[in-house]
Amino acid sequence: MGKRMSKWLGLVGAIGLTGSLLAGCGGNGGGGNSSAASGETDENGLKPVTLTWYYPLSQLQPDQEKVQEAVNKITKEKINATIKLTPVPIGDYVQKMNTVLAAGEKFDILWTGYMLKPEELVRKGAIQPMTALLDQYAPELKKDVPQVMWDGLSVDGEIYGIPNQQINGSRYGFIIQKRLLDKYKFDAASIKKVEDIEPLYADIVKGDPDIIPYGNFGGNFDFNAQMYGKGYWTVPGLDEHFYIKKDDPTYQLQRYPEDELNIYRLMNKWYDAGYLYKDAATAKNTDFMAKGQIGSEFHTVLKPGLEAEVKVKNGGNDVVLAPLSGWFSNGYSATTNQSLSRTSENPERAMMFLNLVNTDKELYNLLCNGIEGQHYKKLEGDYIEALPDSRYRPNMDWVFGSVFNSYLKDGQPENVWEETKKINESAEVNPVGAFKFNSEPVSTEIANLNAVWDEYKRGILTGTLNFDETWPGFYNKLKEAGEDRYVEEVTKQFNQFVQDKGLKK
Amino acid sequence: MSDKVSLAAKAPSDTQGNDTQGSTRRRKSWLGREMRHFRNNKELFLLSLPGILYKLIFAYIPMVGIIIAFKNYRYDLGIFGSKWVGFDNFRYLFSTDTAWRITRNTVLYNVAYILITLVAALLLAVLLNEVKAKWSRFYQTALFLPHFLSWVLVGYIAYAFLNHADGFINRTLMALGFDPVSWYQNAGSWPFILVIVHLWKVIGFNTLIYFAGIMGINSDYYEAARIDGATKSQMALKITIPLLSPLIIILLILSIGSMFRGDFGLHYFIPNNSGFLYGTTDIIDTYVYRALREVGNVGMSAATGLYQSIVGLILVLSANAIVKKINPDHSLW
Repeated sequence: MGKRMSKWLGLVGAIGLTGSLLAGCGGNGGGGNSSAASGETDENGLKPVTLTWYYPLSQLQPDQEKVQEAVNKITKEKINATIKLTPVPIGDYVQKMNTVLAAGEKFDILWTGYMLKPEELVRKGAIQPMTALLDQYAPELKKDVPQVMWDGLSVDGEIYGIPNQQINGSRYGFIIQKRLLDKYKFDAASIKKVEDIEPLYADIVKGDPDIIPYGNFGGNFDFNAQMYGKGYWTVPGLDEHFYIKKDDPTYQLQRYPEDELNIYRLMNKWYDAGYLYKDAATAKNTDFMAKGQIGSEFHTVLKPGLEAEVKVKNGGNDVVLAPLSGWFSNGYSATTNQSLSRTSENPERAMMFLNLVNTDKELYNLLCNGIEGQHYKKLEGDYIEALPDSRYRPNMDWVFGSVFNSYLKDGQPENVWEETKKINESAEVNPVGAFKFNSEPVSTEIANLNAVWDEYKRGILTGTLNFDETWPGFYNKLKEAGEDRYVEEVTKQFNQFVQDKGLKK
Repeated sequence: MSDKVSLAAKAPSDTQGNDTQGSTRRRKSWLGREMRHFRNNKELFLLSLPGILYKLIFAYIPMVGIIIAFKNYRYDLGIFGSKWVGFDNFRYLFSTDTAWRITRNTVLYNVAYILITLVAALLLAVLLNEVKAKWSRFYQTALFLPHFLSWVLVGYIAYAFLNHADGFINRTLMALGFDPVSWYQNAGSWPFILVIVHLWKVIGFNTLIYFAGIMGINSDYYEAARIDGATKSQMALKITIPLLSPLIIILLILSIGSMFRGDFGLHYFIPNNSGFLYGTTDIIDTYVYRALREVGNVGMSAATGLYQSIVGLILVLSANAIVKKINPDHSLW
């Protein structure tokens, strides 16, 4: 190549480099280590250590440092440990943790849960078992947590996480704006099954064109066959399209039962009638929620105190809950927990710390609400109120530990935690809730099935697509993506599970 | 990258031939020549050192990780300790006919982007050269500004235009008496929308490169042409474009190399990840994201990256070979 070319290449290079320098901004390397801090052994014979804890927050807090100091005052005294709190913005959490784990960084505790499933981390060799540590260092905690939760966090007989206790049950039904019920003189208690709400929707379409009667934007499988009240249990940990019939003693797996498909047909009918937003399959729920334009929603966890939570989000409109079922539980699906990193050098101390977080009310509320007087003020009883412009207000109690230890906020009934505990104990339990699928043999198929479902999911769940016209072609694509191999593998593992548990009579 | 390539370029072009011969005498003389070459250009080598180190650390050393594509990667076993699984990680990409669809989309979109950007940027650069210096700076800034916006933000701007109920375009359509269009459900219009949005965002950067190239052209040519009575368009076609052609070809070959690597941000955020549009907007990168988001399999992601890189390499090599055939002076190596 001639001299002329190299001159031009230099130009391209120079401009390209400038561009990338301008565009790129370095990420901050938040490396943590758990090396022993200097200091002396305390009276219990504990050497001073530093523990690093990764967890997600919806927003990083300006006064994080102050709270960390206050936390360390407690932990230094009780277990001679310094805690390095390392919150990560929730949107980046999974990616950040995958990088941290893949790089083998030395740290101690990480939040695991619905976004970052402990079971998958176990299969990737990222976290360590903690059964023995629990027995030795946190016996009270072990007793306090119901066995069903430990079962949900066990892989091959070893426990891999401490659950942040909160409600562990489902009760499905509608959340309806009270003003609409009043205006159209509709009695929420008259709704016994999903279709019973249709007259109300018909009235809203006629009388309030600005209101979206049914706020379904296709994000979740809200109505699955279980929620729909046709007598099914979902088989957990799969793609939400496997069921067993409640009255079936043979535990025969049902894949895409007609009862499920009928839900999509109903959605299509509702969409055509104008009960859903015209662009529901592509719009965002949040664009309408705060303006109070969502007339009603379907919800699967109608828990105590939910009315207050919804009111904050929907522009201050009062709502009424219309439950269609009793409380039930699919077992514990490892929603929110703390796990111990494989790279932790002080797992014993980390366990002591987690025990403390879940049993020391002062420490837990410090993490959740900040420092009294600076970030919140105490009201009567257990009630607190955040101070205006508080510089520490994560509002994510469920990330840190058992919410049963938290102070109460406006709108929560005084006995909310007792009620919640009662629900956790009394809920009807899914007989196959403890089933755990090892997805490794079919990860190719799952990847491809996910991609196919993504293409159709919102169109079908919002009823935008005519189901009967779409389904044959869609099902064909699922078949191509490996539906049969996936079903075969699930069936094999499920039958093994039923046999091992001795469920089949 | 330029440092590396230009270095290689400075080496006499017959060195490769000598190497294969392998006689010690010649090898020595080759080495001697290289050393002499190095001594003569000490300062230049020193200047390029940071660039070379950068490439070495961030591009060459991490290449060891390619083996992850053939392994069932586990964090505790590490890159070398994990089990070999052969081509298992590649299976998901090729097991359905989606592979064909996303490959076609990726390649066709990139061809469209490359050609349209090339023509538009050249045109703007020539025009920019004609306006007064004061205004030229204003236009440069205005054109360049979108370059700094993230795709997420551009996605929202596009949404403001295309939103069903309140979108700018639908409001205009309704005011003119037409029916509104559900853009996010209308797959047919997306090839045009994506090309327009892409052009809007990258045009400033590319124009600037060509503009800088034009600035480097000796003004004597234009003066001579003006004396001979050439028109502006004649000057652009007969002087500017031919003199810029080496630059155009370099940029073309480089962009062909990334033809198999779609722009994830553009194809994910602008169509709002709408399922209705996958037929015309889905590219390899968005498909991989959807497929692996929940599975989170490092090996499968690595396999995709390797596949894209290998095809990219093949494309660059063949593009260069074709250019070499047509005009050896213009090829990269």
